[in-house]
Amino acid sequence: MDQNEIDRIAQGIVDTSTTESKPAALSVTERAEPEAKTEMIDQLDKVTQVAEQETNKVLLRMESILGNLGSQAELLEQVKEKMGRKGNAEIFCSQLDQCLQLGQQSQDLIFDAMSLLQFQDIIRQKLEKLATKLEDLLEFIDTTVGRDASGSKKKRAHSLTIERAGLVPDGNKNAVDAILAEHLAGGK
Amino acid sequence: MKILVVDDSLTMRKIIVNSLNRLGFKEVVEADNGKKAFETLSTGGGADLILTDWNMPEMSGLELIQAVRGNDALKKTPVLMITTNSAKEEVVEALKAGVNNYLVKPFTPETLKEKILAVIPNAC
Repeated sequence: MDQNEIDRIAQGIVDTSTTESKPAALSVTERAEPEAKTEMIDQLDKVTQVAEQETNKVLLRMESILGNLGSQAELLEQVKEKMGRKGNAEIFCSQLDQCLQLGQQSQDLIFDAMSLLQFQDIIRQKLEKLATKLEDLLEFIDTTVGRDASGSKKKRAHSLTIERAGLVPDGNKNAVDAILAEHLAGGK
Repeated sequence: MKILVVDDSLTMRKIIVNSLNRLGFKEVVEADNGKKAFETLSTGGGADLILTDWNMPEMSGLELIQAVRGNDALKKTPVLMITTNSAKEEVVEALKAGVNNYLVKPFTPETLKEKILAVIPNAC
């Protein structure tokens, strides 16, 4: 909340207290609630979007690992085949089999982990339903009390905080380095 | 065997496509809503199986099933619904719309296989 906003609310209290047409507290609520409404729904939307983006990044990396393990298994099979033809490499073939088995186990585990990421879609849908219910509830309150929240300014403070909260590796590094540099220069 | 996967969540599509690949299904087509799915089916010569989510923008899974069942060329295509909607009345509604089977998220690959086999017995 910036100073202008505080001043407007304060002015509203003064105005209503002098005219006595409405309680001062209601006037404050009238100004603050539409912003709170869009902010809440906006935040829920943002959370679902960010969660999906990040989950997809994890999935992409898992797919890459699965691909690498698959290629590795193919190479090991080729080595095993070539060694087997020479007829004197039983011990190596046994170790290669163990490598292949471990690779298969890793693939299975990664695949299981990928399946577990379904939770993201489920939570997304639950949050979307919650946002819809919240919107309906607030619309009902608006209608009942006779307010119109449309066209209100959206506040995104929390959404921006989420975006800044270390989702991109080293995303804040330059800013932090600049602060450190400034601090060190000032200390000299 | 050509399978169409319809879900607005990229995460879910990836999970389903990976599961299908692992089950041996290599020809998988994707769409992120019912409308695009129907366009894909209409212009791309249909599919042998449709796996669809329910809640999607533009056209829901239920509307997609209704559109498929109302189209002479597509109406016999088996449809498996994969959704978070698990209320009895919702399952009934989907069945009435013409869905062949119903899978609730989250699911295991084994259950997916079981459901596909229930719809197409010799699929995998």
